[in-house]
Amino acid sequence: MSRFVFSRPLLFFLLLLPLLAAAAQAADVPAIERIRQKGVLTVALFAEDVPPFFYADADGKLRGIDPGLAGDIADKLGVRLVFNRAATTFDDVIGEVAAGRADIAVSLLSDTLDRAVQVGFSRSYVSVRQFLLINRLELGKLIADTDRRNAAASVPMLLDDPKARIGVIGGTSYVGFLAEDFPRAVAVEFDTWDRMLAAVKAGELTALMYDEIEIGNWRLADPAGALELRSFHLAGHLDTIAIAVNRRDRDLQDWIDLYLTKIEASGFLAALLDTYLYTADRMPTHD
Amino acid sequence: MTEAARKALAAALLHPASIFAGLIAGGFYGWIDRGGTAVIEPVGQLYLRLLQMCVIPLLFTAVVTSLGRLFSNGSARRHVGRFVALVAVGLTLSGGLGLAVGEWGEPGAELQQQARRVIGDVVFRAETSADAARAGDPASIADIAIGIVPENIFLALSNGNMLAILFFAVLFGIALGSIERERSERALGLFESFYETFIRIIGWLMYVLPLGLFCLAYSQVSAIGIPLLVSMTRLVLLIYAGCLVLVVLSFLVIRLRLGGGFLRPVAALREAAFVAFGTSSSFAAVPAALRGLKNGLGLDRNVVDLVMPLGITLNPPGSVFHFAIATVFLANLYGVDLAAGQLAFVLVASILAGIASAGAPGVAALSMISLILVPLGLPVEVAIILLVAIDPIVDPVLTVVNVQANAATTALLGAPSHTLAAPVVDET
Repeated sequence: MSRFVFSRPLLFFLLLLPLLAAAAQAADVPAIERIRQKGVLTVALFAEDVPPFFYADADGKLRGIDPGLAGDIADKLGVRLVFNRAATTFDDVIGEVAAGRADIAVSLLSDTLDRAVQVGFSRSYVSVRQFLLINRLELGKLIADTDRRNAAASVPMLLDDPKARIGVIGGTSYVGFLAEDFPRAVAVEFDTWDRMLAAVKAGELTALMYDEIEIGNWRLADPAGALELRSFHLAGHLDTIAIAVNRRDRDLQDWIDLYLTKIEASGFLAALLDTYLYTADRMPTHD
Repeated sequence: MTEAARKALAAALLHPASIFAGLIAGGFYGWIDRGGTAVIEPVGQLYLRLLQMCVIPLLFTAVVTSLGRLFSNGSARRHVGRFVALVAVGLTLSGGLGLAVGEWGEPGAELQQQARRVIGDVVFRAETSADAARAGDPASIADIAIGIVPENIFLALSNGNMLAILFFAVLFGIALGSIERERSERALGLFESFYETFIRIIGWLMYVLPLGLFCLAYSQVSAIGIPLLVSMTRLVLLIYAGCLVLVVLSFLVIRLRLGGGFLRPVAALREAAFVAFGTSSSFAAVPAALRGLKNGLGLDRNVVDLVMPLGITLNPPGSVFHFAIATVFLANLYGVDLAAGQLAFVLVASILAGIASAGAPGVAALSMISLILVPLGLPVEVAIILLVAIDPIVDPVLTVVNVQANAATTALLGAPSHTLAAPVVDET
């Protein structure tokens, strides 16, 4: 056997080298340059509508805070905007960005520590408050069963009880929030908001935990609902919403941070939030 | 102004027609003006404060002097047992009526969607406003019982803690009546002078009653939320019907006890009824009731001065009726069927909650409904919000019941003075 004969694996590796180098070079191309070369910004968005953050209007056109931001970002980058709505859970939206099937995600995403392991987050562009929606009769039963000495306990204290069943939507940041805030309650995961709402109305759940966006939508859709269900603001809990960026695309993340700083200063962000979120009929609670 | 003209003016101002006219005109103007005339409400508040200003010292001196007199002549004991028995019967009757009217009229059952929407909206707005958090605090019987004994009587007097003041006044009166007569006589005479003085001040205030009622009725009517009222019409109408029954019953009891025409007690107590209706304050109506019972019906002064203040503080049949029917309303609203045992519980708990609420002001009194609702697992916070919302419209008539029922209790205990001339006969 000659000393100069290459072993087969080594030969294979050498043949592969130029390809690997090309791939590495592609990753090194700054994200903004890559997007401009494609001429398209792909934005991941949760599959279902969540007004007022993203929803189809009467003409089927996507409207809301997140399409508003995504459209403005695409304009500023000088590219076309394409939405990727493959994700059916919010965690899957993060997955789309991590896998490179979307450049960014602007989709009412909570910037939790768990998610920040997978993707990078911009600075937060809005905070939504966390709410409980409590079945009044079930809460009444819970209070009636409670020891007299604890009768003056606050609502969150009452609900942190093995007899309390609290619903959350699977694949949302609220799974973690619930485990953290109500460790003793029974957590029940649902795949859709409608099913979870029906369960709390039927008394199968003591309460559900979600953000003020869906609670506000519930209130608009069912004004009589406050008789059966009580919305309760979890004070001190802010759910900060941010834009997700692929971990490799540091330049894009810096650019988006700068962009958010500038639209905050110019009043564009405030105007966007006032148009969709802080409207009189949504009646945000005053604390 | 000549003496004759002054007398004519006084008679005109005190005439029931002008009092009634003031009340109705105020209510009507409040209805069409919807709070547009800002000056009326402060004037009404001023009048109410003037009426209430003398209530605590008046009640205190009335209880002390009457108990002192009754104890020093030995006729008190027989009143105590009968008073307790009458209060128990009266409260059970009114609580039972509340349950019966509620079960018969089914307020809150099968509400229209529109009505549920209005009520839901009221509840949501109330809960998201700043002061909602406190409303759900459940009251505890033990705390209320401890609160009856004042830690510091001057603190209780300045806070207007009626139960504590009454507790002290009763003890003070009994003690005063049991010391040597010649020593107690001077103190009793002094308290009597104070008592007469307070009555005189109230007497002056009665001249401006038509104006006061006009202002109070104006602000009460403009405070009523019309859409909510429409949604809860059945409950409101049933409360009015039940109260009418209780008031007629009270007049019948007085008439049966004292004889004479049915209109005699009505004539004697109409001023008290107007003040109660116009002010929604049973304490403000006490002076007028005392006058009516003594001067109009000729009841024994010591009994009237003792039983009426005690009754107005400890015996609120209107509130018991209100709590019982409101509980049925809430159970219907949530589709909860109350079993026979639960109804019995509601009756007992309504009486306790009614007594507990008698010493508490305004919204705090309504929140005593938690004593009934918490053990039943019904949502207290909704009940309080809705009761507060309909309070301006039902409180006047509930106050009339509280005053008239206690007038009837007083009539049962204090037969006319001449029949009590020799109380010792009953003792032997």
